[in-house]
Amino acid sequence: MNNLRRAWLVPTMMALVGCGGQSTMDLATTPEESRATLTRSLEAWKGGISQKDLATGSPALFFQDDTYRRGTPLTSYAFEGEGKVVGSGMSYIVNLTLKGSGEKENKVQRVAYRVVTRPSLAVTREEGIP
Amino acid sequence: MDTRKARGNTRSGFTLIELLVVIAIIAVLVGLLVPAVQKVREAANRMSCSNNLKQMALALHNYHGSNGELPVGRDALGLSTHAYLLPQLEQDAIFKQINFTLAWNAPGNALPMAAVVKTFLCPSDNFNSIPAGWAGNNYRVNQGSGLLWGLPPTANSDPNFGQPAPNGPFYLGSRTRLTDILDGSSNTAAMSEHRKGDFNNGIASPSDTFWLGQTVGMYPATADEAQRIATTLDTKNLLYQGMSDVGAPWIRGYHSTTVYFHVTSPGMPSCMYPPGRIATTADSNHSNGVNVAMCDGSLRFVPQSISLPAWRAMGSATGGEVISE
Repeated sequence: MNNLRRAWLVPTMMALVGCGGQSTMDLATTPEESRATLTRSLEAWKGGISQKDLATGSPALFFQDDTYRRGTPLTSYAFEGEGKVVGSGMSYIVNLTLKGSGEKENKVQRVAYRVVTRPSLAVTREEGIP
Repeated sequence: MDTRKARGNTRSGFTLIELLVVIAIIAVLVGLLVPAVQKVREAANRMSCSNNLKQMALALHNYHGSNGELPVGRDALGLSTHAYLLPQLEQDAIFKQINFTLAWNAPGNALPMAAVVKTFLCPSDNFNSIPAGWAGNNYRVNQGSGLLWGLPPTANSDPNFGQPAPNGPFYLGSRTRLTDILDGSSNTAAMSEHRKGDFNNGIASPSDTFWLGQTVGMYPATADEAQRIATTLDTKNLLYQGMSDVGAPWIRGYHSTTVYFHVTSPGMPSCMYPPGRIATTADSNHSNGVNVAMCDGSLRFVPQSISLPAWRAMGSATGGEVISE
């Protein structure tokens, strides 16, 4: 019992005196939650719901994608494989089919999204990845 | 007769008033002492931080001595200046783990990506919780006073066509020699510092990089516009949270991990405007300023109140400006 108390004491004292160094952060989502959140985001885009409406919805969802923000319509999307842990969130590769403007053909874009669900729902297009 | 009996049953000791007075005195003393201790502690941290920066500035010079040029700002595979600088920081073991033929995030580079290098960490930055598999960094190399992240595009259909090339010593594929720094190595910044982010786009923190994309009125064409945008930015709006992976992993040569710009004043919010325009700046937890290592290896503490022209002049290597501050 005494040893157990001492084991708590060492990291506590280190934290108090500022010798903590680097510690590992917990994941801010789960695979299930993150995939459901990303699906909700893409469905909203496909359904013409605006970024602002998503952000003020319940629960609020912050979906960051410049193509979406510019109002380019999304006709369909397909997940490519399972997501993987990147940083504190999950990262998914998605193939987006975007509606071409005017007579132009639809365009397929391969992009990656980072998703966290705690403390807020946030989906962010990753820059330069994949 | 027993004196105790004479006094009734009272016991000698402190009265409640006396106790309260003593507690109040102790509280006042602690109140005076704690800020003083914190001040001393921060002064020590700032000194330790400048020592780290000095080590890195010396490492840059040692690298230049061995290779005839400064290390690359970032290479084509996204590996950082820091990765190339490891042997000069006596971190050979980590350097040997890096596969420089692989991208920074390739599984083959997972081991060095998680390696903590103490010299890369400012003790004043108390945010030390990092995602698993990554290691943190507070020091960044100077890309200059322009907005362009990559190299100038040649196609005039590119939204960044016409943006000036990076004018700092460190950028994509840079091979800068000290003799290329025409403003003088003592007048040009090599490195500075930045606090780590919170690694969670669902949390708004002032040390994150704010993703402003091509939002109307928020896509700067010039450095002055970037300064105006950063000044008025609502850093608590989660819609602007796009890059919270700030300050890790150090192996990644990126505008939010190992590179900064002299576009906006130190201490302002760091911003990104995809595609291709960036204005991450220097910031710190030191009071009112940041440490900067100049290209000659000297150190300066630059106040947040530095004039913008002077800060930008420090950032460019070939601008021909004179730094008056």
